[in-house]
Amino acid sequence: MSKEDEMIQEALKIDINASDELNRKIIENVGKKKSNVYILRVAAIAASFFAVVLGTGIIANAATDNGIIEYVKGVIDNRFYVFGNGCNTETSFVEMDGQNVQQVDFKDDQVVFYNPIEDGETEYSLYLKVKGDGTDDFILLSASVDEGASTEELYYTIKGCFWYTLKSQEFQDADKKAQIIAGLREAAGNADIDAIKNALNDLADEYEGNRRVFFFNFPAEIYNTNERAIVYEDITDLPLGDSAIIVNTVNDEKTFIFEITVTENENLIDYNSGNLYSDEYYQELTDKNLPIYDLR
Amino acid sequence: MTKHDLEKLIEIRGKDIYQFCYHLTGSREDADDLYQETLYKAFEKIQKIEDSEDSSLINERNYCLGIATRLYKNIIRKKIRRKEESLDDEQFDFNSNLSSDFCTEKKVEEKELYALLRKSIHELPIKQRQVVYLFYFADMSLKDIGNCLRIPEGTVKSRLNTAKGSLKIKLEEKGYE
Repeated sequence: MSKEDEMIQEALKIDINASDELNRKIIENVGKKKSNVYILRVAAIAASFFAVVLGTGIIANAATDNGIIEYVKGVIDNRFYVFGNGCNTETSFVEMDGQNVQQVDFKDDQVVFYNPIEDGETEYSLYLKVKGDGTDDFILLSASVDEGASTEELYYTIKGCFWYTLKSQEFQDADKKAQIIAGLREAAGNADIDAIKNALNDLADEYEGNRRVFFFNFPAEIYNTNERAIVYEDITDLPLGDSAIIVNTVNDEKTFIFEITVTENENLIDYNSGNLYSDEYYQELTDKNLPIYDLR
Repeated sequence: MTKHDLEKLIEIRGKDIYQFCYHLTGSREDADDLYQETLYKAFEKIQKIEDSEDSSLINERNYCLGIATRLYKNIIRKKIRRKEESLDDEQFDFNSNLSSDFCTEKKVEEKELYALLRKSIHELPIKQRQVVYLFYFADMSLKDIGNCLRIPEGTVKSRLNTAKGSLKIKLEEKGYE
């Protein structure tokens, strides 16, 4: 946890509690209170499309062999179509085989791929369908971006947040991986906003090349502060505790050199310090015989 | 849930739930109402608190926080519909509740910083605010927050980062690095 995180956590520590009287009143009155009648608003379930989320993956009875892309394309018809195969959903929890699972209803009234939601925020969602044995998986990649966000912010947020979910799927199977990559590329092909198209294409490229890309403090640091956007490759085959210097191009103008340490934490690499690239600094590191991974 | 279960929940997790309600609403009066409604709802929804070695009731607490966030959203919607005053205009005692009687200069600065942070968090859009409270106050994982708010994990992450970015800017504007 960063210093900033600790600060926020500390600020939220307050010493306040419900009064004994209130607690007593609640316990006395509970059960007497007339139960509210909640009418479950049943989302219109699009065609026979019905999915159940189990953990982070979504198992669905795929209603169409043509895939969700064709389905969504048909449904959204006159709507502003951004990219790929997504739609708005409504979720609820149901019990299935003794487990509490999340049910996802694909709503046909708001099937949009990017979905403006309240508070000036837009949510971008991409469902990737992955065919499996017997059941199909849906991976929901999602990110929310404030309206009026810059192109850069949109790019990094989509790429970073989609990646964040994608990496947790742990699809190591080559066939499934290929499907995911194809899905990302297809979605990119459908995108009519360059930042989204680029984000998806780049994500597909990086995933395909086993280039596990992580962002340090993603994404706030990228566009709000001192350009600490860092993209680096996975080097988790290094022994735990080992350090290395990574030289990496962040964008057309910036190259960073930074020291990283392999940790047990989520099998990721811990960032220690970052410096703007300079030939002198690079030479200094080389002279010290530090292991250097030059990713340029 | 039985009354005994509810008593147990209040005893072990009541404070957490109340503090969360207070953070969300920004006033004791509204926190009292939200806390009460949350527990009523939990009483209806949670079937039974199992007796087990793990008596932390963390799942039950998280479930209650989810209820509180949804109830609070409804309250806001109603308020907006009624064109009542914005919640942001309500009085929130941002300086309260730091438990120190004796303050050194450093402590005072820290206290001011925390008060500013609380105020800044309270001024965030509700969606970001919820995520911040659940992550930092309730110490929930992004995945659990996603389940709690019924939004995808990626959306949780982007909201959290947007919130952090906004907070950073606000603090910098006030001269904090």
